[in-house]
Amino acid sequence: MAKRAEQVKSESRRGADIVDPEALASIYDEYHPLIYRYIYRQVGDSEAALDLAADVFRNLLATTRAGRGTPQHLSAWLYRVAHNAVIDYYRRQKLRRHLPLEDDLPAEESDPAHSAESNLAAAQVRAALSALSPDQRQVILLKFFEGCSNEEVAQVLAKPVGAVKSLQHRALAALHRALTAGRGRGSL
Amino acid sequence: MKSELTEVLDCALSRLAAGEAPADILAAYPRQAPALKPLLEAAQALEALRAVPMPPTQVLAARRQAFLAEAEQIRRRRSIRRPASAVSGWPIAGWERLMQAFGLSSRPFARLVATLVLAFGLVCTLGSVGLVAARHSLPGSPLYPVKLLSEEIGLSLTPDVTRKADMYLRLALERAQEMARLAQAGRTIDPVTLERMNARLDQALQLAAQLDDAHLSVWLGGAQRMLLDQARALQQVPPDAASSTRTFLEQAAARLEEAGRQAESGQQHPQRFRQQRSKGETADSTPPPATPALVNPPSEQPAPAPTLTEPTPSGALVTPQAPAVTPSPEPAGPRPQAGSPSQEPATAQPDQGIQAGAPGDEGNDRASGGDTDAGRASDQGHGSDAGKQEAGREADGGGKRQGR
Repeated sequence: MAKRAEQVKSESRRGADIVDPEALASIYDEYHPLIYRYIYRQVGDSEAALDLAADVFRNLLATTRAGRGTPQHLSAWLYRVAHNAVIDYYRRQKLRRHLPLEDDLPAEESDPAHSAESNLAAAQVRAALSALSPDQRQVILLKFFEGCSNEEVAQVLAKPVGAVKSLQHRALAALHRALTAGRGRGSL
Repeated sequence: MKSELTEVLDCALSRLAAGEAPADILAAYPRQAPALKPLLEAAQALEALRAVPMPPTQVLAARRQAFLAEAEQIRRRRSIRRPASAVSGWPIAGWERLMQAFGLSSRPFARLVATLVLAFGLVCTLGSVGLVAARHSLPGSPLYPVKLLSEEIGLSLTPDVTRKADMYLRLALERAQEMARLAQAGRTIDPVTLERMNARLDQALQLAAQLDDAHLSVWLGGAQRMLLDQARALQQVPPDAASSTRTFLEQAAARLEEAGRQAESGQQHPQRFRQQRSKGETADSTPPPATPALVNPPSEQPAPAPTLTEPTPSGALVTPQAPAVTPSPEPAGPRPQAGSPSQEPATAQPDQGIQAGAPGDEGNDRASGGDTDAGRASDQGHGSDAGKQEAGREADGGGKRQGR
């Protein structure tokens, strides 16, 4: 966590030199995998996740180019932009309820039956996640997959820590309801 | 109750993330276990999303390359657009860093307010520096009009009569000091400066006449000292001064001396001082003109008075000749005035001369925007003798009428 705090502190300094190719490459290498995974867990489509992640980093360049300054807390800023990109993605795909096919299977997966089962489970959870509100979904993803503390999530969401805990509670309750409903539909 | 469950859930999730079994966690919170159980199940279900298949390395490398190429393009466009950014960009970069330091870089409204505050501060600072610089400027300097304008603004913002009279007097003395500084610097004196001094002096005395006796006496006492001090200072003409410069300084000194004498007389006879000022007002109500020779009424100044642009180098005009005139109790009657042999009989009346020292002179100053040689010549014989002034006042009406 101390390392993470140090990262956040150094972000603004690096952000100031964002036109420096080395600094930019360093930021990309560090944050692109995180942003990609964050997006992928929501959209479940590798190509779409890559495109949306590229949009996030293009947005970073545009912000710097427009002279609005570089984000002070870069990671929080990137997650926020990624979150908005996913919302836009869902909006474009509105009313599209079918589950995306998993075309990028983990390389080490050798058992097709197990692979299909895990893919189905992931698709169900992803569908349940998509039923949550954007804030609830973001809390879940940041806390359970990105390893963010309540304070860090609060920074990304620009909300107090107490509100983050409440969101987490409501998100898990809603997720449980959505999963139960999904299993009910599946069993029918 | 719900907030308690929220807190318990947060702790339970931390224990779950640390690898503790759900059953153990639920056992730790028996009271909240029923509500906690489905939440922990949902949290466990999320593990299905843990594994994320990463795209092939070549795809990732190509995406990375595309992003860096785009950034490079932007960087090049920037450097082409602002080739001198290393020189001209440092204030902007500094400003940006300041914004970042105060956490304003991502708040457009706060940035706008901060920028406006900075711009306002800069304008105020530059304006103040300009005004200070203008305050010490001399006629002919590019900043001198700013100085005059700031004086006019100061006058227009001063409603109080006493303060306004003070301000007029100060400005008259400022004009006199400007002439002295010009002479010391070896520069020529613009006659307009002398006109301005005379106009301000008249305005000061005119306003002072509106004060009550007590205030008038105090004001005139202070004015007398300042006027005479300044007149003495002006008499220290640099030896290498040009003849025209010398003449202007002498004229200015004479005018200040004369005003000082009026102030001295006014302290003893405030009522007469007011009458003199009011007569001067009615004698000529036109505003101070730019060129005295063009506006002096021929009926009042039949003799061609030397204009300020063509000064008459007459030391006698600025040398008080009071000793030559003995105070005369004669109430009226034409009497040749020392120092004014060429004047018309009406203006050469001795008592008219005293009055001329006040109203006649005022008329000259107000009408001409400065004292003429003739006007001063008529003033030089009366001195400050109160009895003589009294006599002159009584004869003034007749003398004036006669003159006209």
